[in-house]
Amino acid sequence: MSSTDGETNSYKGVEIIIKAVAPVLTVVGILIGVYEFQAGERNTKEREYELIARQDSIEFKRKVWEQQLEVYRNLAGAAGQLSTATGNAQEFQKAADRFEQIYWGTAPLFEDESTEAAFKDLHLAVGDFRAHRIGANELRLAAAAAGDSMRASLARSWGQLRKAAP
Amino acid sequence: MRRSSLLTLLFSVFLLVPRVAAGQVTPYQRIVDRLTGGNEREWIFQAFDEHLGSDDSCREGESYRFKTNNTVEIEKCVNRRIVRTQHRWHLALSSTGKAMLTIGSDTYQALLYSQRDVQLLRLRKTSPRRPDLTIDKVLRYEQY
Repeated sequence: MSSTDGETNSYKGVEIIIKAVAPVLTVVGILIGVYEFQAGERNTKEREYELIARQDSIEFKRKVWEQQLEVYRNLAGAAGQLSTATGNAQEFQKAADRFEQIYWGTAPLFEDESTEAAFKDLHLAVGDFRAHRIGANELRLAAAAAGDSMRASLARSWGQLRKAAP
Repeated sequence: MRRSSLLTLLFSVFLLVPRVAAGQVTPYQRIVDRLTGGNEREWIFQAFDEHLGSDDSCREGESYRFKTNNTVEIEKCVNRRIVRTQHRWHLALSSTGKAMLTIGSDTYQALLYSQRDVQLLRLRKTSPRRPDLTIDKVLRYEQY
């Protein structure tokens, strides 16, 4: 056998191997591509779900913050009425009723520890004013303290909301 | 001394002198004066029902004698005997003007007020939580 025949045989052997491996490589390549595509899709979907969940959470917090603002606004209105109606028993009674309604009703849903304490102070001050144990000035101080506390509470909630935003 | 400093000093004196001359008392001092009567003052929580005789036998009673040296003498009728204890008292005003009175280790929200010409001292124990109970102890100052 000449050297040319030997080279031809070895070339054929390589060609056979290549012919056998090439489809396998192609299939493996396609499979890797499909896997990567699916993994990418899955990641994209997960990121989308995360984003949606985060946006939902922010939206919920925003709604709670808006509700808190509304309740505090009503409470501040009642506190202002209490402070200015000290000379009119009928008006004072109306304001006290309005305040007590919010104090025992919606306020606990949105208050934090410091506003709860300030509301309780004002609630007790209303009782003291009615019983002539304190004057209008002391009542106004309690109302002002409740106002300060609500402002600080809103600022805290807003800060948390901003921190959560993307 | 610079001229501006001298002017500032004169202005401060100008502001201060009328107040001192008018004897303006601070809210803190006003409360202390009412609490101690300027020297010492006895506040009755429950009048003593004492038996006649030289011993300290009693049925009921509780009183607080506040003194300007920041001590308070508490007399209580315990097991038919008058028991006297002495404690330190301390007054602090909160930022909203509430008087916080500490007697021994207990701190109360104190309120001094008058009703039907009787001076009253309310010692209040309360918590910042809404549902927690508020306990008031109202003492009266009897002017003889």
